[in-house]
Formats: sequence, structure tokens, C-alpha cells
Amino acid sequence: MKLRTPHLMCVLMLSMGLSQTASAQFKSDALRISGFGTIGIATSADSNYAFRSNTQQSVGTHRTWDMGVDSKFGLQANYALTDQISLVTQAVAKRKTEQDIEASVNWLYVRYSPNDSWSVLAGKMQSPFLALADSTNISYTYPWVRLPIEGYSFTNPESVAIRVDHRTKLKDFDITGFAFYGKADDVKNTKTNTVDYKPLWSIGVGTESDNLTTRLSYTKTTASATSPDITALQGCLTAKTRNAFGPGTCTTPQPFFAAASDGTNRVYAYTDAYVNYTYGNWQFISEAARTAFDAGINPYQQQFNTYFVSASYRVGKFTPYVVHGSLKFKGDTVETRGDRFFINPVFTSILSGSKSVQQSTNTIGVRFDAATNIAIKAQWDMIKRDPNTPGLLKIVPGAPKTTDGKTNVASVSLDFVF
Amino acid sequence: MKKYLISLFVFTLASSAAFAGDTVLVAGSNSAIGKLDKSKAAEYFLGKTTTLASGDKAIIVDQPSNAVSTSFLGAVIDKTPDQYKAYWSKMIFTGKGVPPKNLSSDDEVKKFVASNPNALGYISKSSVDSSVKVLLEP
Repeated sequence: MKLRTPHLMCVLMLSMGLSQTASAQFKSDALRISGFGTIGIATSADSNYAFRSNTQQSVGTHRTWDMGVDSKFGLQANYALTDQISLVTQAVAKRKTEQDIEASVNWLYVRYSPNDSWSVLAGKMQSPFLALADSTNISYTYPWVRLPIEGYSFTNPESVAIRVDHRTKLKDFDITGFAFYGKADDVKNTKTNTVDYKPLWSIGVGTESDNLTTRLSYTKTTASATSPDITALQGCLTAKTRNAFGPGTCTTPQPFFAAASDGTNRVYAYTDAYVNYTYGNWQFISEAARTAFDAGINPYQQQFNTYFVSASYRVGKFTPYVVHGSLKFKGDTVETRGDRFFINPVFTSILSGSKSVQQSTNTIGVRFDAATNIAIKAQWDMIKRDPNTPGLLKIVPGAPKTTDGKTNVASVSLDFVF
Repeated sequence: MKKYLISLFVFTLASSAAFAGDTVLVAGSNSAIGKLDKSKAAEYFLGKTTTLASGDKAIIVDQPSNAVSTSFLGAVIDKTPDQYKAYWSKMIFTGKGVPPKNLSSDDEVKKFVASNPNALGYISKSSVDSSVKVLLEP
């Protein structure tokens, strides 16, 4: 289903108006229908780069107020078949790749909990790369307008999987361990780039007490990533389209590199650590993640290191907050490996492409709990990148290429749950 | 203006203090559920424990955001109703649990727990009568 962005407002307003009624109508002991949503607008003064809430969005906001960056609407049904077995499904409508709003069923799984210690989930569910991944769309549950983009704007697909959780009590702490095995949905990042995941596995452990929550996880998968650049490069290197890149590039076939750069079976490993600490009216949240991956051209290895730290202080209904997020690149490039003979500009471009997404963001904002199920938020993001690189933003076609690497984004949102 | 703000602050603190300890956790007078400590009560209201000592499924009863819920949730789980709602929203939408049943007044809670031996809920202390027994005075 596709909705034009202007129509989203009508859908959201209608859903809010109906929310209480719907909740009352459908709630029963066995079936519970719940919903969530965000009406958000965001703008940036940058005319060269468009701001987006995740890299799957192929359009974003620049010099206009855009409702599509953060707005979304979701419905969830929990149906208890027995005291131990329940069925959970969740559908979400939001901007994914293009301007239009797309609706899709994110989750559809069976949950079996024979007791308070064990639970087994089977079906389509969120992949556990990151601690807050399963709350990404439920903005009401976190202080900010959106999850910090340095950690959460990359691919975070759902999987058809089986997941086992075990919880045990140790003094004042609940200790939970999980194991996850599945196949993530393929991702189409733009009209042309795709990531075809192979089976992934993940393990993790978390602790929870009155005021402290932690989580540590490790996930590994392989994937085939294809893009026009890599496809053309293969052709170039196998002499099929040797002159496609103009004089001086691909002048001789390089079959070794061609075989090594077909984009298939690239290994991705995700390590994630999360902590949430509450002290009186203060709340501190931090997460650090490392994504290590084959660069697509053997033997080049690269990784992204991301983290964010957030502090907020609740004053009645108001919760002002500050956040600092960072994404740094580390790994092999032509320069770091000293492969001076390796002057193919297409290779060089691909290898340095990952480096161009480096950025950091300083954020200030405030959350106002207008009602028990409604939060209004205002946020100001100051994004800093290397000059003349896009970071996580989208280059506006035809825009000047020379920039100072700074972009400010203003956002206002209304989150609701019912 | 300064005097007004100080007065408002003192009044707010005094109001909060007046509610603290004015609520109780109850079950029906014929229920087999025994006394609970604050930690165990918190586990029920946060969905971490779903069964009673007898092995039966516990039915937890909540109230909407009001003075009674503000007092009880603050004393037992150290959360405001807004924080409690955010907690349960996360639980619901991550598929980890279903929140307690919501009843709108002390009378409705008493009526419900009196007719369900596996149910427990909170009411103001002044509403306690012979239909319920007190499990916890936070």
C-alpha cells in the first residue's frame, strides 16, 4: 500500500481520534489491539544535503518542512491462544525508500512462554543487531524525536527466525540471555542497491534492576551486496566493459580483483553494548556498537564504530535532554594499506566510500508529556561531518559540492500510543 | 512572582507527601494470595512475574492516571504514571507482555478482586472494606 505524504496527516489525525474508541472496542482478555504513531516535521537549512532519519530513505528534508522523515503509524495485535501461547503481529506505515509512505507487516510471530523464565519466539521479528532496534518505530518510548542516527540509521531488517530467551534472578538483578537464528529480510537501500542476507545468528545477555539496564550482544551474518558500481566494476575488470570508466581506468584486466569483488558472501559482524541508568529524575542512556565487514574487495576489511550518550532530567511533565552521537570509520583504504600500485579510481572510490559517512551530532531537545499516552518533543541537531562529504545525509542532486560539513536540523513531533 | 513559585513548589511537595502511604495493594477477602513485599509487588506490575505462588495465572488490576495510581506506582515501582505508560508501551510493542487490566475506580477494583481469587490491585487506604484484604501497605 502506498500513501502520498500529505495524506499521512489525515490518516494520523483520524487514527488519534479513533484511538480510544478502537482500544475500547477491540480490547478483550484474549485479543488486544494497540497502536502507536508519530506526527513529525523536520527541516534543515542545508541546501546541499538532505536530512533523513535512516539511510533507506532516498529523500529527505532540505530547506523545507518535511513530514515524511519521522512520521509513522503502526498497529499491533496480541492474541492469547492460551496462557502460555500468544500470537503477535505488527504493521507499520512510514516513509521507507521513496517519497511515498509504505505500509508493511513487520512482525508476525508465535510466542511460547511456559513460565516466567523461558520464552520462545518463532516467525517474523526484529533482528537483534542493536538494543533499541525493536523500539525504533515507537518514539513515545524514548526521550528523543528519533533514535540517534549515528547508530540507528543503517540497515536494521526484520528476520524470519527463532529466538529463545531465558531469565533468571540474581539478587536484585534480572539476568536475561538470548539466542537468535534466522534469515534477515533482503534490503533495498535505494532503487538500485540491494543487500541479500544469508542466515544470521546472534547471542546476547542483559541485566535489569530498579534503575539499571544493560545489554551486550554479538551478531554475525553474511550478505551479498550489489550496486551499479560493483556490477560495473566487475565488468570493467573482466574486460567486458573495460573502457566504461574512461581513459586511464581499467586499462588492463585484473581478474584477481574481479573475482574478489563480486559483492557476494561479505561477512558482517555486529557487537553492541547498551546501558540505561536512572538516578532520581536523571536518566543516562548510552550505546556503543561496532560493525565490522568485508569491504567488498578482498582483502580489505572495514568497520564502523558508533556510539551515543544521552542525559535527561525530568522536571514534572518536561524532560530536557542532550545527546552526543558519533560514527567513525576504521579500516583499510588504498592509502592505509599502501597499495600505491592500486590506482584504479573506481576501487579507490568504493573503498573510501565507507569513510565518507563519518559524522557526529550534538543534540538538545525537550520532551513534554502532554497526557499519559501523548508526548510532544522539540529537538535541534547539530551535525558535523568531514568537509565535502555527505555523512549520513543525502546529496541533493545538482547541489554545489563544496561545503563546510555542518548541518543543523530542527524537528518537532507528537508521539502517541493507545 | 518568586514567592508564588516557592509557595507552588512547597504545595506540590506537600501534596505528594500527603498521598504517599495512602494506597494499599489488595486481593479479595477470600483469595489465597498472601502478603507481598514491595519487590514482589513491583514484579507483578512490571510484568516480570505472571504467576502466583500457587502456580495460577495472576490477574493484575491497574487504575488510570489519577492520584491513587500516582501514589501507588511512585511508592512501589518508583515511576510516574507517564513513565509507567512508557514502560508498558515498550513491553507491548516489543511483544514482551500485555499490561494489567485497567479499571477506573477503587470500587471497580474492589468488585473485581472480590470476584476473582487470582486478582490483585491497588486502592486508596480509605476504601478498604470487608470485601478485600490488604497484601501490602507501601
